[in-house]
Amino acid sequence: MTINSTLLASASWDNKFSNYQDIGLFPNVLNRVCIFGYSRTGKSTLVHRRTKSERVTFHNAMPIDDLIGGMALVDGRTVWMDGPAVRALKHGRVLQIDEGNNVPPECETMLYALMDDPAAITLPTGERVTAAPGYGVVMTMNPDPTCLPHPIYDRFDIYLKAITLSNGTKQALGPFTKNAESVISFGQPALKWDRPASVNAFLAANKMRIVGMPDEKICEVLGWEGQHKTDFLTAIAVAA
Amino acid sequence: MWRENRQSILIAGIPSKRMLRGGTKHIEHDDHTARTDFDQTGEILGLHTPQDAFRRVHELMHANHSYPARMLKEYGNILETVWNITEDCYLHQSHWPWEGRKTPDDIRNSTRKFLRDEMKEAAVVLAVNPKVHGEWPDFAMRLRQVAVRMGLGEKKRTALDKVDFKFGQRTLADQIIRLIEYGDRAQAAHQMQTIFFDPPKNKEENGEEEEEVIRTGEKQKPRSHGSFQPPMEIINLPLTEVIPNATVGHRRATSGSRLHRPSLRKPILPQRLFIRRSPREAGGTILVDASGSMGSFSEVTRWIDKAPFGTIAYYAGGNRKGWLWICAKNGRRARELVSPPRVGNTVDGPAIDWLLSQQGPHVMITDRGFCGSHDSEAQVFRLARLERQGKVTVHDYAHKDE
Repeated sequence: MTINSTLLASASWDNKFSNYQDIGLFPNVLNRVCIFGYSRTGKSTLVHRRTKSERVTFHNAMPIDDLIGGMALVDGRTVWMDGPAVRALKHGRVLQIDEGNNVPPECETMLYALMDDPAAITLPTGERVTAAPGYGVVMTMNPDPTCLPHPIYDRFDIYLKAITLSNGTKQALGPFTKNAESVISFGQPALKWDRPASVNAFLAANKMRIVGMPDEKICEVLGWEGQHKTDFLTAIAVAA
Repeated sequence: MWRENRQSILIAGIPSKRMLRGGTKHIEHDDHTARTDFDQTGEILGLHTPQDAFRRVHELMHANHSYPARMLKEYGNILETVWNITEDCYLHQSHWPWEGRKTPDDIRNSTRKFLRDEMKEAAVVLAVNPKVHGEWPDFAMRLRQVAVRMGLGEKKRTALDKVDFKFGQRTLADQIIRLIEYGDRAQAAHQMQTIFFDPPKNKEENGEEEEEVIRTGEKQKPRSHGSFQPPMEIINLPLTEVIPNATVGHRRATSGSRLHRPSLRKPILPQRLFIRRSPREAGGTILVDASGSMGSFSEVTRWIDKAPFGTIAYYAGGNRKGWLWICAKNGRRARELVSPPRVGNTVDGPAIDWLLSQQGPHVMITDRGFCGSHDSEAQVFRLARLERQGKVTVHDYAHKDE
């Protein structure tokens, strides 16, 4: 597989996400995306509309059944009912996790497995479910990714910072778009976060290189621009 | 202002075997600080970089390719400023991370900007003091610019043309770059040190104790200069004859042991009634280039007569060896002068070293046509520098001024 389409270098986060999907980068090559940023920018809506995702919203008291499913009483018998994560795995769909910063303690380790590459989990019934082609995970949240447990933080291939309104939100705002843009950062958390060097970043880089993406484009997907981009290009060239 | 970058992407370019246990630090500076700190084992203690991409690449190259053991072996007796430039040139010529013209645009632009800024700074310095053009920091800066341009994919000739060397130094730079290109970094550094710096004083002169030799049982490896340096044999000819012109002068003095008898005949005795001996001319050392290009051998005898109290020596050399004959000293001279068996120069460097080690003033009689050794050209530049500094007076062979 080779990606020949042009990536949008300086596009907004929503255009980038759509672009990655259009050129086949997500979820075929890289399948773990984290979108973080200001509320009401259209993160969750965009993802759901674009990917027709299996959707789950995290909260601190969420049981694991809400994620992977559980036994239910049907016609006097107990039968296994798949949860959103298992459905996404089996049918090769995108698992969308909203409010990802509230990772429930009960689901944390299962989430590691769901975000592995390749992803696979073993159900309480003993059944082993592996990811079908097209499976991916998109997590959306408001604070920056440092709030996540490190194994999860470390697993994302792509980070997108949503600090502008998506096109869909702009359409919904109509003539008030400019007014809304002026107040977008009011009361929002500070998002001074740059992606650090990590093993997974280089894993993702290698996946993209295998499908023929040039190094400079790889930097753009990884979110490394300016000095981070030149540092990355230097580091990989010197060590080569 | 500086800060530690705890999640540096640049650090990912350092080989894991050189990473310090506990973590190599990447210190980001807002000023121009750029250096790579490593310990004796070669582990990188810290990477200090400014904000521009070019110097970040540069320091990462050091972190990958500059090993203390190798540098100690190659530049053991070379001044730090000289080996730093040599090492920089080596890295840019041989280890620039991108081949040909494949340097990413951002890094290429940053590099071009750095080169432009450096040249602008040099121009400002030259406007204030034009004499520094072609001196050490100026030449070193231009030499490194050539290496950087070559790393970016420019041809050597083009790079040399763009850097605007002082007249005559382009050839020297070409030679140095070629030596580095062929891996003879030690020789390149040695040549630059010879040309631009005085020879290091030996420890006895400085009053330092001799370094204790550690006997490990292993054969000690020489800190060589890379290429073969022909040896020079110093021959003291028997000084059996008094030079006729070496007569002692006299002067009248207000005190002394010998009376000036004609003064006694004067009606009023003068204050200066005594006679004191004084040498007519101070000493000094004269070195004569006795190579074939100097033509007649009579130049030596002419100068013996001209400076009877000086130390006078001449030198010449063959393919693998050179000789320096001391033929006059303290008013005495050798009866017969030994004709050089070969008529090359060969040992200009050691001969100049010898001249500088003797009592001043230093005079050299030469046509500057040095040849016969790999560093001959370098010695021409060195002599020119010594002349500019007033350490050696050079009389051209055809010099008619008596």
